[in-house]
Amino acid sequence: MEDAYKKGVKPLIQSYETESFFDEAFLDDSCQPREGYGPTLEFFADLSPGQMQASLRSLERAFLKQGVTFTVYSDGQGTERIFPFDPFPRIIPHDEWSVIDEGLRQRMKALNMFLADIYSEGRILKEGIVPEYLVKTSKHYRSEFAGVKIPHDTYIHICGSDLIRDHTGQYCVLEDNGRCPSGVSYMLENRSAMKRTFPDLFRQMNVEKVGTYPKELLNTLRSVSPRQQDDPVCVLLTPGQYNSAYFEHTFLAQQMGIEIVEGRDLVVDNERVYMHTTRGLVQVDVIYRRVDDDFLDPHFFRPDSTLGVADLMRAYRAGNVTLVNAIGTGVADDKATYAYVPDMIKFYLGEEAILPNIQTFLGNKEDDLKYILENLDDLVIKAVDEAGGYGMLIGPAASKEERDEFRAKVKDNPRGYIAQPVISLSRHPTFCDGTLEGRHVDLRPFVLTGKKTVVTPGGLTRVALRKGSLVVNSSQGGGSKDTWVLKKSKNS
Amino acid sequence: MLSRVAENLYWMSRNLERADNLSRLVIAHQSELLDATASLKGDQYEWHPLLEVTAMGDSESDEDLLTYMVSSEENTQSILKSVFFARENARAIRDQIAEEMWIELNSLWLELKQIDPTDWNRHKLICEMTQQSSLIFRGIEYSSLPRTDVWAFVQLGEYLERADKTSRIVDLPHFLPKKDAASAWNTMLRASSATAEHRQRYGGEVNAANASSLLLFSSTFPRSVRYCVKKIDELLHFISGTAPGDYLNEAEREAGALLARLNFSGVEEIGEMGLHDYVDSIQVELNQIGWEIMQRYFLLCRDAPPSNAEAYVTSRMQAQQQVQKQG
Repeated sequence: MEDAYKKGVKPLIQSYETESFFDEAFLDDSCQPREGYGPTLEFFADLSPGQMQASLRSLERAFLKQGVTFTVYSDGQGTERIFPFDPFPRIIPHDEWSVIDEGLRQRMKALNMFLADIYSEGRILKEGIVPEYLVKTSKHYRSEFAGVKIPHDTYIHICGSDLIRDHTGQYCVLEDNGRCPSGVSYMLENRSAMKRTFPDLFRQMNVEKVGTYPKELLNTLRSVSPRQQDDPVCVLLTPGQYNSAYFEHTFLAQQMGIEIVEGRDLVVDNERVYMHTTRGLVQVDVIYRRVDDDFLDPHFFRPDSTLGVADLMRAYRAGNVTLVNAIGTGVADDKATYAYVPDMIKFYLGEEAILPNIQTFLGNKEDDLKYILENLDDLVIKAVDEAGGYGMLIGPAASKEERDEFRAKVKDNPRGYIAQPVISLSRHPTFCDGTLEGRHVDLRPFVLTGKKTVVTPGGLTRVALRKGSLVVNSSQGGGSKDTWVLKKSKNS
Repeated sequence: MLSRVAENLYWMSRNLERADNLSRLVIAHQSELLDATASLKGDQYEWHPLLEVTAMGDSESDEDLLTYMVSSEENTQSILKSVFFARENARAIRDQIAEEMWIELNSLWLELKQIDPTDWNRHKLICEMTQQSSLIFRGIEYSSLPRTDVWAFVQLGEYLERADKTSRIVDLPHFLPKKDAASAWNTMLRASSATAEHRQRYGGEVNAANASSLLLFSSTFPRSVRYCVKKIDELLHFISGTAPGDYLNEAEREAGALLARLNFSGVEEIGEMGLHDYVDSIQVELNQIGWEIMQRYFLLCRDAPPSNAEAYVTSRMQAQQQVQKQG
């Protein structure tokens, strides 16, 4: 049996090397497959190069024609690109996923309790678990909103934490995206593309559904409406069609059957939010906003913002409209706050973190700072308030000038930076010119919290397509894969 | 419906109709010109009349006139640009229309972009593909859009643009040398897909009276100005729920007045005013209707709508990119 497998898939994997990385699909260099991967490898090995080529082309064309694109602004013009897609799915066995699921729920609960706490009593600060100055100096801390009561005390309704696996295969949290995480539309489109292109493979496997996400999202939005009526008006607020994630905005609005609005569609009157329709004004209850805090209200935040709604914050404070996610959640995904999440879990829930953090050195701690400056060459340095792969330095890969630049920045503003050891992210077989090669991957699962918490089984697996690269961001040469969480098998 | 959505539906439809009409005109004109007198040959003479007719004004660019009309980046009303704007409008509201409508427009745009700029046949390809795609788009629209306000605003853009363009097409002879004016009547019938209808009604002979009567005053031919205005009138009443013959806003009043004019006093008026001045007066009224629609349904948003489409798009792009750094 084992030999037959090897013989069949040999052309596909003959030059495959795991190179001491943790490989998602293979146990070791003998290319013995991990749980769930055998049938998939055999399926792809059976396809002729011509069939494979044709499948890839039709996938690409479909993405392009449907406008499943993101926009790159490198040339100042804005070019629409498709998010490169690798057809080899990432497969997660049921039991492995159960741990992730539980870990994410635990983390989400603690983060929401943390936010509710720091915007009210501040117990965790008083008891010195999380340093008060760290919270209050966070760029995204909004002291003005302390004491504002929001439905179910839920601040982060939609979270897309990034998970990685280290060299032992342990899942760790790399960062929590608690502001406006994106990528969920790719998770859904990737799934429908895989089902369309490789129905035979899909049929063989027993994969958990992800397609219910939009429905769950709508339920979440409705559950936090301030007006308790049967049919609250929920809208999605987009910066507009030239935003890089615009496809996702229209996709989600359409799937949920809610209006997609721009700032100029809304108006605030008497502390209530209305949208301009061809039949007059209609009151809005819940805004799923894909616009950062800073741009939401020109009277309150950046006055130059043309994307927001004047006086939206007055309506929000008065409790007449719910924002999803809430104002001020950025303090929870400040990369320095991140280091304290395991402590939060212990403090609020009395539990150990199920999904561990990456070891993190904080610029604001004296010993850590010293360590960072002495070992800059071996560390990843990150600005605490940036996301999307911006504002970071990968020490070993950087030039001397870049390192000097970051050293100066860290010295200048220690609170603004953290450092982590370079993690050798796990790798996953990925199609490169017809054969499989290992490429680094991460995983962004999506967690919804309204009245209750829903974890979608799967997520967006991002893959660094450049050989050796650790950067999975779409803006920097990343692609994605479908992620298959296997259902509990019937006989176990 | 959101005012901005209505606006985008309307402009998506208008921009596509504009591209389609210009494509038709270019193809028809080119073919009729082959029979024209020598005096008309040469870029300036060949294409300048179309520029006049479509009110694109004088080209200040170095491009030849055909390029300027078909594929210019500088001319915001070129076929290529109109398709671009239609596609941008559709992108803004793709959740509101049938998926296939968006895919058709998006595919058209992607395919037009891919045509090799040095291809000698490029302009013809652009015109033919635009025409073809527009037919498919309208077909999907007809068979899949629910008859709600979405449909009404799409149709409103379609008929308003078509009424305007047909009235302009009829004006073509005015811009041609006298001896070639006759060829213009063939051009305009072809561009309006009216050749067959004309034959059925009037036999083989094409003349000014018959052709203009068909294109301006037919109550049954779907590209005639009168037919289009009748549709505009109906659609406006559908949107507001006002009874036919009555009016609730200026757009409805203007449309009703123009329809009455076309219904009852057409041919005599032409005699008095001359064809050129007559169609000119119709265009003024159509513009007025367009303006009133904007006032009534779109301008509810404080943010000014695109009077200068290009500058508007650029400024929105810059603003929206400010927030695109998130993960």
